[in-house]
Amino acid sequence: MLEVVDLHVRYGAIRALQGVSLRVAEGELVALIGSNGAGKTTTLRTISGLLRPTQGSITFEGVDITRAASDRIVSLGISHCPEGRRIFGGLTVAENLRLGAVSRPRSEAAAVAEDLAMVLELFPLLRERRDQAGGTLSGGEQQMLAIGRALMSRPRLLLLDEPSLGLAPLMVERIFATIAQLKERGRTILLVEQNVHHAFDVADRAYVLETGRITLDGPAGVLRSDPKVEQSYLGVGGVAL
Amino acid sequence: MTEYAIQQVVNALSAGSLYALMAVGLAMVFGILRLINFAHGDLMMIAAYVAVFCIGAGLSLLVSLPIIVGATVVVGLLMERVAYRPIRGAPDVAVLLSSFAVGQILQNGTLLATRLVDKPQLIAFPSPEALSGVVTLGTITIPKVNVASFVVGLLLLGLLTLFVTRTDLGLSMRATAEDVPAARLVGINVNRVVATAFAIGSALAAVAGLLYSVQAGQINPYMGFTPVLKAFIAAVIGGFGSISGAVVGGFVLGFLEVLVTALSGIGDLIPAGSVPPDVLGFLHQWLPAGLASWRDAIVFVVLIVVLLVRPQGILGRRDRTDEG
Repeated sequence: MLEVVDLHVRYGAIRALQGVSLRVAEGELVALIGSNGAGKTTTLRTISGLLRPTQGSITFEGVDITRAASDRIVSLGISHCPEGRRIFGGLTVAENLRLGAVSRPRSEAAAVAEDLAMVLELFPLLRERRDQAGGTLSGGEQQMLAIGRALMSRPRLLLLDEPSLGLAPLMVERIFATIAQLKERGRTILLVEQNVHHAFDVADRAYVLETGRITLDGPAGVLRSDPKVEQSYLGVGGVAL
Repeated sequence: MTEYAIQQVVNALSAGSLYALMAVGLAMVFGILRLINFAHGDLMMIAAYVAVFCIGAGLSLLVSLPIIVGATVVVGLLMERVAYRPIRGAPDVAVLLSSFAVGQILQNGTLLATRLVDKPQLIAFPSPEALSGVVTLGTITIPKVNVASFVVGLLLLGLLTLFVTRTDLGLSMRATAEDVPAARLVGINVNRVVATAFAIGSALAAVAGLLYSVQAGQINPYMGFTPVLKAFIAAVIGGFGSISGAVVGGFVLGFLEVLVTALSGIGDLIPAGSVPPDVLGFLHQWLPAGLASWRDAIVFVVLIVVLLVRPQGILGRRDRTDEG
């Protein structure tokens, strides 16, 4: 479904990505793990058109989107739920969700209403908070809103960037339960996550990114018991990152 | 005395509407692009010259208005496309300089055009029939154009409010003003939003330009400078980048200016004997007739005080995050 080949991205003199290749098949949940600054977020931002690669290609369902505009990429079916949630704080919850569907034509109004019902069923709390400004929500509620907003474009591929970052443990559990639920419903997801334990719990496959390069990849169950991954990302002696 | 007060309130509402119409255009563009478009005042000037042309050609106001607004919107969109879009993301100073350059080009272009048709720099503005004369309410007389400024201003600001709270494009505009990358990630076409902001700002500037010219009675190629400066002040007082702030700032500025003018020499207007001589003496000393010429200085002092107390303006919020 998504095919990234030999992606190179620079920030000025800094080479953030140096030949990243990865693929996501339909219905798969693929995790992208790695330490801070490895290039995980950069990879997602390049896929969604916020950054331009200097080299390499990105193909989505056979369409070359390497240099496509971000709004076109959304229309093609990729939705990116960004790191730090980035909800529109001055807009209400309802307005945030409405904007999630802004790329869809008016003729899809009925389908948009269906998706809104689906999101409110997934996150009943958002229904209660409907007319509240997004900025007044708690961190966990904002994360739900961000995921809900991303789902409103009815994406065929969902990019999730650090959905558990900065959340209380209980809320982390809830968010991952939601991710597992989305996967069960057949959603295709590319997940970037610091919380490697949780990522491996829900993922089918994973890629390990180190200083702009993919160093390991394979089924989540296999990577989990890889000594290198254990040492670098899962902590030794029971100390989880 | 009551009539005097009512007249002054209408003056304040009229001036406030014009400032608000201009300030909103500046605020919308600033909100999204962090660009202070000083050429915004020159859009008023373009509208005024197109109006002179239309009215001179014998067209009625109803026929002229779409032409005036349309032409100004075209100039505003061209401005964005040619002078601002190519340098988007450049340092703020470069963009600011570009706005001055655009202003100069529009002013000199207009000057050149007036020379070509052998007209003087300063020309009388032919007030359209519908906006000439006065409205009489009992003992109160108010120029029609002042009433029109207030009514039209309120109407347009009301429509704008509906636009930014009810339509997808309006919501997209507010979302983009908050967070450009996040707006792009939900699929908002930022170029389209920016063009819309310029188009709406230009249309409002066109209407403001027409009303302003009728009030002033004459126009010249540099007429946009003072209004854009005032609109800028209004937007800063209100909270720069916020549309509602720009409206509030516009009316605050209008009331402040009219208040200073209305109070200067007020002692001369009060019938002798109606107030104690001490009070009259106080008024003569502290609110002399010459105070009006200090109007702008006094308004600026108030602006400084407002910004010392509330640096973000009356309705302003903390700045958005642009990075990441």
